[in-house]
Parts: sequence; structure tokens; C-alpha cells
Amino acid sequence: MKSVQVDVVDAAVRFGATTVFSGFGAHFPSARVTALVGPSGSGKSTLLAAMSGYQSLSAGRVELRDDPDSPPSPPDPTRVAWVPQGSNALGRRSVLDNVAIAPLAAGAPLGEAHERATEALEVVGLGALLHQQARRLSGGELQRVALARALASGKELILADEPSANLDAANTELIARILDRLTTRATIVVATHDPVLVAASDATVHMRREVSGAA
Amino acid sequence: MRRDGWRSGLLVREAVRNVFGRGSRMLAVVALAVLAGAGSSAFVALETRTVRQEIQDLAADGRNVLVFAAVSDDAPARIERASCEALAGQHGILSAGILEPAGEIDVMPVGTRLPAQRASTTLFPELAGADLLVGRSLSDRAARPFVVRAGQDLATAVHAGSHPEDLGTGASITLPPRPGDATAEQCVVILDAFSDVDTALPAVAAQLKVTRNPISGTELLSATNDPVTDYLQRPGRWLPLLLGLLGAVATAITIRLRASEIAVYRMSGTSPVSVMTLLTLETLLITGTAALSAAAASLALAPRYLDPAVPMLWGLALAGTWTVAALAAALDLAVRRPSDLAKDR
Repeated sequence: MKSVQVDVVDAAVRFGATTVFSGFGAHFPSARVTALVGPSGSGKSTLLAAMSGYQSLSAGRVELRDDPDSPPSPPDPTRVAWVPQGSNALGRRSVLDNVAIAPLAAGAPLGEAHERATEALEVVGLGALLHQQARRLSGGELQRVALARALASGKELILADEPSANLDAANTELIARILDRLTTRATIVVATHDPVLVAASDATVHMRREVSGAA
Repeated sequence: MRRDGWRSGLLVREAVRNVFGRGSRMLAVVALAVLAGAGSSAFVALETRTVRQEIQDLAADGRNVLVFAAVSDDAPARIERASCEALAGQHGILSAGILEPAGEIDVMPVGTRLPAQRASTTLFPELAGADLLVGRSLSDRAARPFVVRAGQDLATAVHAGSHPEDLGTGASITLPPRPGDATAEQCVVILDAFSDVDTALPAVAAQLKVTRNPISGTELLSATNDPVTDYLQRPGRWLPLLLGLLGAVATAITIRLRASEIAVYRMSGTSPVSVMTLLTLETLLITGTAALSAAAASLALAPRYLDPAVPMLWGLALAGTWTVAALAAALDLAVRRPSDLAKDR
């Protein structure tokens, strides 16, 4: 499967008088897990949104490349799978339905979407819970469902926003192992405070909190 | 706006499962739709039936029955029969014709020295099928025409139909006009229930040919209230729309409570356009249920309320209000940033 490298060049995001970050640059290598770390309010989630194309930059640019020599392309939500902070799910639908949404949104027919979802759930260790209602799952299991959804989407770039928040140590380590396995299929950027995830990452990018701007 | 790869049929399937699936949050709104649709139909049907009954009662007392005659007894006028009978069948007029007292008559075996009147067959159409009408209070009812002796002649008689009491058909013998009766003292015009008397009076008077002295027209019964106007202006007519708004609020709240679910769709690559389509389909499934419930209730009530069209149309108005208001209050979710939606739990 293809994966992309991402370069952030001299990027800034401002909301009115408040500067979230400015002059920020970083390189996120292809087919690796990169941990994005920094204090709360440093703009990790905002940077992920900018890398996915959901958030416009006030200055600078984000460049996606299929390989180091290919021409850069701008961020595109259709190339990105987002793993949110917390346990978002269609609570009343089955685990399989929750994961199949991603390939369905990519245009897969129902049968193929179910196959890809089943395979992704096997990868994250939830193969036995396909028909369980999502609201019956634990927080750790829901986080793995979100990872399975990202995997089943077949997207080249997976952006995970604090995927281990509220998880115990065992579940955090499990998430770290799953992320590592996913690098065969995608480039992964993880915004996190968790030392376990940072230690398990291939690279680390630091963000600092801006001191300028309105209170 | 960017598009995704969702196939239309699968998006419809998704909407159906989100609304009707086991344990769906939307099931409570679906139940509300069933109740609102059926309740609205029942309410409208009941109101329609009440106003129809009221109109019938007032019509029996002479509502919308116009009598044209001389302005003063001292200045008698004659109205040309043909001009009066020509009014029958015009727009808004049920029947019209001359009506005149005709002294007394013996009709055996009904009775002797019975009050008699002459009227056009265009005023009392049942006269076309018999030689005379017998008032309902004069003899026992007969289902079919019967033979009587009127004076020296045999004649076929039928019982007079249901007419306003002051037209005299209930307690007298009604005969058709004689061939030579070219004019009469009175012309009676029965308007349909929804005609406006004030508009009809001058219009009808202008068509009557009158000789000798001027005439004027009056309504047999001047009711203090007009049931049609009251019906059209009743506050309760807004109830179906109010129910539609109530349903829209419930739908919008339920959709907003599902913001984190919508985030799942968005973060899985579903575009804002597809999320809008999905929410629209879900809302249409709910309001379609309301319209279907209204239609089913209307048809079930039809044998008792005659015309199911009125409650059905109000059911559609309810569903339309519900759809538009709910979507107006919820579609903004489709264009919000997915990461923000994910935090709305």
C-alpha cells in the first residue's frame, strides 16, 4: 500500500488576535509513526486538522509527497483517515458497521466493505466482536475500532489525536503495537502526551506553546 | 465541495438503519411521527365533521336561502318565472325557482283542505318525478311514489325532500306551476354552503326580470355567526403545523445529540454533501412516517367523516413543515469540522 510523507513549512494558524502557532516546520517521514508532542494549547490538534485539510493555515503550507522526488500536493481530506480523541462511534450499530463506513465512503460495494472491515478488525484484535453493538465496548476497544476504521479506509495518512487518552497502560501498549503494525500500510502521525506512545514511535516532533496573542 | 465515493443505494440503507435499526435513537422520534400524523388527522376530521353538521343544521333553518319579493306589500311586484328558474345550476346556486301560495286542496287519503303551494321543479327537483309533493308531517313516509286523489283527478305523489322549514314543504302539498304561470310573487334561491350571501344578493337580483314594483332579497335565516368563516379562522387550524414544528424540534435535538456519530462519518471520509444527504434521508423517513400515519388515519376515519382529502392534506402540511424546519436546524452539522464534532458528546 502507498503511504505519503508530509512536510509542514513555516506554518501559522491564528484565530483573530490569538496565535495558535507560527513559523512552524516539521517533516513526517513516510511509512513511520511520528509522535507529535507538546503542552496542551500548543496546537497539536490544530496542526493535525491543517495536515488533513480541514483547517486552513494563516501562513505557510503543508505538502504531501508520494515519494521524496514527486511534486508536492496540498492536504486533501479524501487521503486522510482521522482517529479522534475519545470513543466516537455509532453506538447503536454493530462494530462491523462502524468500521465498514470507511470503505463505503471510499466507494466500495457492501460486500467488499464488510471484507475490508472484518480484516481490519482482525488486525486490531477485535475479530470476535464483529456483531457486538459498539456501545457495549470498553474505551480501549472503541479506540481500536477507530484504528480499524482508519485501516479499512485504505487512506495513506492516518492522523491520530491522543488515541490513548483515558486508556490504561495495557491498552496503551496495545495501541502502540497496532500503530507500529499499521506502518506497513500508511504514514502515521500521533498527537500525544503519553510517554509509552512516544517511546514506541519512530520519530518525534515537538511543538511549543505560543506566548503571544489575546488572553 | 469535495465528493466521496458513497453509492446512493448504500447511503439510503445507512439512513434506514440509523432511523429504524434496533435500539436506534431516532425510534422515539418515529413514534412521535406516528402519533402526530394520526392525531392531526383525527383532529382535522373531527373539526370538519363538526362544521359540516353545523352548516347542515343552519341550512335546515334557512341559512343561505334567499327569498326575493316586493319591497312593500302595498306595492306588489311580479317576477318573471323563466328568469328565476334560469338561476338554478349557476355557480354557487344549488336550486332556484318560484314559490307561491295556492290556497287549499283535498288530497285523499292524505287529508282535506290541506294548505297548498306551487313551486318550480328547479327549486324542488323531486317534483319532476311526481305530480305533487306531500309534506312529511302530513302522512306516514312512503319509500316510493304513491297514488292519491287530488280534487277529482288521480295523481302520483312523493314525500317532499328535506328543505328549509320556512319553504313550507314539510306541512303542505306542493304542486308544480301551471303552464300559464309566467310570473310569480316570490323567487327562492338556495345557495351552496360556501357562497357569500352579501355577494350573491345583488348579483342574483340583477338577473331577475321584474315588473310593476321593485323587489328586494332577504336571507331566510340571518345567523349571528358564520360557521364557514369561523371554521376558516379557527386557531386550531394551525395545530398540524404546530405539531410539525414540535416534531422538527425533537428531530433536530436528536440529530444534534448524535454529533459524535456524524463525526464518525466525516472522519471516515464522508463528505459534507453526503452527510447532508444522509441527514435529509433520515428526516424524510421520519416525516414520511408522519404523512403515512396521517393518510392511514384519514382512510380509517373516512367512513365516518366522508372526505379524507382534508386531513390528508393537513398531514402533508405537517410533514412538510417538519422536514423543512428540522433540516434548517440540523444541516449545519454537516459542514462543521469533524474534529470539533467529535468533541460534542
